[in-house]
Amino acid sequence: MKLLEVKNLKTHFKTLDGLVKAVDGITFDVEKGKILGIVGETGCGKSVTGLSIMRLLPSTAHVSGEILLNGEDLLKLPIKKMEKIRQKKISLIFQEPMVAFDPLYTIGQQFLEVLNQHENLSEDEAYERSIKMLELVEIPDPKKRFNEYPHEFSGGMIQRVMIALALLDDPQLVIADEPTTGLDVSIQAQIINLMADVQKKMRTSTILITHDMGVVAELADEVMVMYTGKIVERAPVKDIVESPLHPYTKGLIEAIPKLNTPKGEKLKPIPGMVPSPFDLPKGCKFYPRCPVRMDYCKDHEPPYVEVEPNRFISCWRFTDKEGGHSS
Amino acid sequence: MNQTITDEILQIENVKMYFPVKKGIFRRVIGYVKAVDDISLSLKKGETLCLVGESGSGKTTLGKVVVGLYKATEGKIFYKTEEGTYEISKKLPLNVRQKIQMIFQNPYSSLDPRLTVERTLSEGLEMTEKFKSKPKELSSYLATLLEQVGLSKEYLFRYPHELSGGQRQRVALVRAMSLEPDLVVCDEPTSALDVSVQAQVVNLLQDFQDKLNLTYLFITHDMALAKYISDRIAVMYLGKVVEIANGEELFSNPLHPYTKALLQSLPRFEARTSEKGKKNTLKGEIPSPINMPSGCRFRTRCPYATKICEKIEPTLINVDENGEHRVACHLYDKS
Repeated sequence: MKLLEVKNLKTHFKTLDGLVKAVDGITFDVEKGKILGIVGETGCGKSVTGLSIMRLLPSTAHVSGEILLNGEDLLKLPIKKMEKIRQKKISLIFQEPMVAFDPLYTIGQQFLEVLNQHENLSEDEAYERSIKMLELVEIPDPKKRFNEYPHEFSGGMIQRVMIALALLDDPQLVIADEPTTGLDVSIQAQIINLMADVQKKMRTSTILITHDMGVVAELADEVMVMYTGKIVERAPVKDIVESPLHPYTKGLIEAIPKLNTPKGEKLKPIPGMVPSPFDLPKGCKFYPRCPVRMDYCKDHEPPYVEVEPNRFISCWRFTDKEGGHSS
Repeated sequence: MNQTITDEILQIENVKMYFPVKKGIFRRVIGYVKAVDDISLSLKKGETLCLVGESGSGKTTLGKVVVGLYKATEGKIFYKTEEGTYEISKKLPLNVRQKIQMIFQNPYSSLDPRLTVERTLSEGLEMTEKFKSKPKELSSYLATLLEQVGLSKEYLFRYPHELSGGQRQRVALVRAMSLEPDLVVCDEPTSALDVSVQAQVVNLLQDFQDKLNLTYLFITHDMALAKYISDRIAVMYLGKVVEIANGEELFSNPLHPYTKALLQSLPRFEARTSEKGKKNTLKGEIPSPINMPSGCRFRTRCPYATKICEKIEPTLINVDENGEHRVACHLYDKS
């Protein structure tokens, strides 16, 4: 069952220097109870994708396409209805929980505020629900912690609270934007365990946005790799890890020092830099950095096609020039 | 690379760095944050020693003590050259001082936003004999250096905000390398960068090491990077070194429960064999360095903690004959 279907989503920003196509025509879906990982370098449009789904972008953003949640197009909803969707159906886990919480209110006040907005619960019921949620994310002594301020929590603990807050209203979809970035490895592992656990218990779907291939390999069911606002490859996690096809995916994986990388062997960075959004290449966006480029790629943009069941890729190496796929 | 490792260049002897915690209107000292607590290490010329550990373990503080940005509360650090041995302090002669450099974690805050790349880079060099009032030589020297890290000389006239994260870190790299140092403290130089850019910076660091026979004290929390780049790894926990060994040995035969736990918490980049979210990991968090646990500092999170760990603080003991692999844990204390 598909929970979320995104069709030809485009998010463009008008700036003084020109049009920035932060997200440029992406199509994907999220199954019920599954975790979809979105990876890519800084500026590839992964966070903007998340914010577009939540409709939390500033008014300079121009969003088009379709975002269907249970068949209902979120982009067509009036803003009042969208507010109901946020938190009740979709919620967001931010990258920096310390910044996401209001430092002037206790954790408890911020939990109750959410519940007051969304449910007809009595004070006691709302309190019970909050405490239960804090227990679920394994906060020790939740009744005491409920009355503490965000600065009294450590980085790992406040991220747990953030997860609890995101799950408070039993949402169907959670968008987690770099939930483990900035945490120590041991705490990161705790959060990974917690997210997998909670996700299993509550049967939510998750979009996991990260630049860390390791986190994706640990958590995701499917992976989508983005580059300059487009999806270059999408496949089940096992395929991405074991046999990536797109040269960009391969490059990302090869650049990571792994435990079995021999000493003295050079790391393989992807040559060049991510192109400026004002000056994108005409054909394939990865052409200038691609190690297996062909002349044809320079002027022709590759289509995004399914080359094997459940395996999508946008590269001329795997696609016929007529648009079908070669083998 | 191993042939070049000959003699000691830096010796850290029982260094302690305590920061006072003050309270009340008289700013009475009510306790100390023991950021670095009695660490002794030595670095050989040409080697890379990695410091790893969670945040709050004192890695960065130790790095700053080594370059002289903090004055150690107790203990001494000796920097050894062919000309003689110097103690790291404020009074270090300038020509010795410039042989020890540091690269900082965040290239967004380590470069002055008001200075062009050229100004940033020449500030240090103008103090040296070689380039004193020789602006022409200086700028051609800088141009060749920038070229080595893959930046054209037009970048000399740019401001930091015009550069990407990777470019800034390369400028910071040039700033450190321009004075031809012997010892460079690298404080998580790649943690703010994307993986593909991280690979570029790491490769550059290794090129410079080969060329200048540099010694690195490399601070990181990325265990895979540590294994790749280092000759030896020291694992720190709450201001102490709990285990030290060469990289291969540490990964194939980790002894300290903390090292084991750290290695297990790494996100493995390989196809999952088990169900997701079933990682073995450390329980709890690093305790506050103000209220340190008694005895072994790790005992509050250690699965093997016994009575003795509560009372006696373990010291580093040799595990193999030549003393390359050392661990501070009662489990391995045979006496």
